[in-house]
Amino acid sequence: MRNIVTIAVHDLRLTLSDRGAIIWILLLPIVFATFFGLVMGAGSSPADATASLVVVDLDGSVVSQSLIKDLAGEGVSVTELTPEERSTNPDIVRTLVIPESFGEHVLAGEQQTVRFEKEPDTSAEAALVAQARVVAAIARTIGRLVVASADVEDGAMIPADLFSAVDVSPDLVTVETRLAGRATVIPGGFAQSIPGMAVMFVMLIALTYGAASISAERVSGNLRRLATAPVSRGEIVAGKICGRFVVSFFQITILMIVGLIAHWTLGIFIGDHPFQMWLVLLLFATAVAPLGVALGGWIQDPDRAASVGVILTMVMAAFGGCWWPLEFVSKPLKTLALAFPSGWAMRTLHGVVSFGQTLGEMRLNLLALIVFGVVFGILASRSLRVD
Amino acid sequence: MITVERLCKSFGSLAAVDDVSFSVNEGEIFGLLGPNGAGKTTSINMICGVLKPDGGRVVIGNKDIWLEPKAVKRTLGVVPQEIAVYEDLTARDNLNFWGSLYGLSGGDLKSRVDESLTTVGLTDRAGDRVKEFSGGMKRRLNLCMGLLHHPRVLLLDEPTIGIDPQARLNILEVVREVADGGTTVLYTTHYMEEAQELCDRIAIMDHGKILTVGTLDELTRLAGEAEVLRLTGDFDDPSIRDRLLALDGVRVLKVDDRIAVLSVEAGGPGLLEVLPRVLAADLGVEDVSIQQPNLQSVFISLTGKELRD
Ligand SMILES: Nc1ncnc2c1ncn2[C@@H]1O[C@H](COP(=O)(O)OP(=O)(O)OP(=O)(O)O)[C@@H](O)[C@H]1O
Ligand SMILES: [Mg+2]
Repeated sequence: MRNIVTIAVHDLRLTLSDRGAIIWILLLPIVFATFFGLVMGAGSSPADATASLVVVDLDGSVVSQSLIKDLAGEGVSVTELTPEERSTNPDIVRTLVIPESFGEHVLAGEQQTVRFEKEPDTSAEAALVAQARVVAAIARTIGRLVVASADVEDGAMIPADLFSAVDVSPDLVTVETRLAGRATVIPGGFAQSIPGMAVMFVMLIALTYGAASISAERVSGNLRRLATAPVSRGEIVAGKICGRFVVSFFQITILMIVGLIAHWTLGIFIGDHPFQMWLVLLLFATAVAPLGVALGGWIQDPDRAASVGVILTMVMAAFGGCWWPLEFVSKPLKTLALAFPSGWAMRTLHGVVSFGQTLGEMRLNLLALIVFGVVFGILASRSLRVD
Repeated sequence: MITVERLCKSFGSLAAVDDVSFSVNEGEIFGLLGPNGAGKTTSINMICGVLKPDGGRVVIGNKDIWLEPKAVKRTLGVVPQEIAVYEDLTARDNLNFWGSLYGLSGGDLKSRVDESLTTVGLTDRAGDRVKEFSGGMKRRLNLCMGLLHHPRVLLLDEPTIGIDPQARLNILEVVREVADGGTTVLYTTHYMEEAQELCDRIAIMDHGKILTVGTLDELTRLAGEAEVLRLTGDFDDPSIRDRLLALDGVRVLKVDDRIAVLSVEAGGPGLLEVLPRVLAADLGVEDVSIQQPNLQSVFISLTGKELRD
């Protein structure tokens, strides 16, 4: 055990002694996550985005205006337009249409329908956010109606001035606007880019630096020399796997800290469970660490080992859903993703970050990652030769 | 201390080590002398438990290294022929890592590291990255890593290759010191001078086989007591070769186009009589050198070729 720890710590030191490695381990994931986070939906994310919404108020009553005010209070940036303005502006993607005599009917206690229009091929996520806020604003309107109706005879119409006099404090009627509609939301922005880039770069480091350092150690004779020390082959293999894990641990932990700081200072979305995210990433690291060692064991030349590691990383990142959300792709591709540890990791991370699932609910995913780790571990112990 | 019995290893059809047996006594410096490709490194790799032999066994301090690898390896120091150190780390970091694999830690580790750095004269460069070292300094560090844990048995595979004479003397000095401290040393080399100067006993190896084993005296006696004549000239004419072979009182150890090596037969007429006879034989000799019997002549007499061929 002591030997395994010694070898693992030594591996971390070797990796950190390479300045170039630090850039790949820490700097590039942050740059990429920021870039993709901004490109994919300008930082919008399920829980904190301010959805923009165009409202066409055909009614113009106290009730409709109160609804619009409530919408703004829910964090929706509302633009009021006339029907003419609305129809001449092609850039509008979401519109709420309040019908004529809406206020009159509502105050008379009759059911009314407001229309929410969304252009096809625009962000489903933002639309869902906006829709949820509309529901919340309507709930508030209903709250006012309930309060106002208390002073009115049953079945009688509520006077408009009574309605507008009602002060509905936010806690009287609140609507949970968090998007918990599982798998109906496609994570975008930082909700996709942070887990995606974390998984990709953990994999990249484990498979390129991991593989290359193992084959370089064999070429330099260090691996053989290691075998002359009182260390068993099993300890060497385990030490090397742990070494790759320790490097990933370091990487993941620093990236998570950077993520938390970005969350606190810039309000970047990282979900509500950073600790669970950290755990999932660590489990993913244990799954891919032995794969890096196995590659290094198989491939004699360090440069070739590194390039095979890059190719493998890109394939697993693409199919595993690191670049675009898996919720986005066709069914066969979704199934194919499960052939890769990255697919399972992304699935689990989306669960944690965007869908509010607990690790307990996703134990099957975690088990899948463990199985990958065990299989790769067996491959590593077969492939790593010291003579 | 080290017993090697009938060790064999083939790579494909090439028998790199072919039925090699020898034993090294406690506290002795034992030399394994042979030209490039003789099978020295392959032997060392099997002896230190890195390369699995096809046959035979290796017993070090009463334990078979392939049966009790960890126990044996704890007592073993190995200095490989290829410099195997981590170039991106400092000398001290290399030694710290290596020492902790042998169970050293804390103040113990530090004092051993300091001590062995002093032994090889690298103390003032201990904090530098190894990639900034010269070849000779790397060699010394390579040696240092084998000494760190005070092994009872030290296996050295050509520890002086590719360095200048001064650094070589330094390394030989260190090996001698270690041996004086009671460590058993197995030393491979293709420099006969080194074997001659350093080793208590020597095994001569070629083509995977041990040709002979003995002390320097025993081996030189093997080649005959007498001097060796080394002639330079044109010897590719068959008639000249015939005349060479017909000479009395000498034994032809080797002859090729330019060089002929003759040994003066023991109990014969002696050098003073033989030399004029050789010169009078009209062999077209351009130069003669006379050598005391040494490992070179032993090697030539055993293999018909010079050690550096
Ligand atoms: N891994 C290998 N695969 C194939 N052949 C090998 C291998 N290792 C050694 N050999 C061959 O075995 C023979 C002995 O090699 P070895 O390295 O033991 O010689 P050596 O005496 O150490 O030579 P040198 O003085 O050059 O180091 C050589 O012919 C070499 O080509
Ligand atoms: Mg060799």
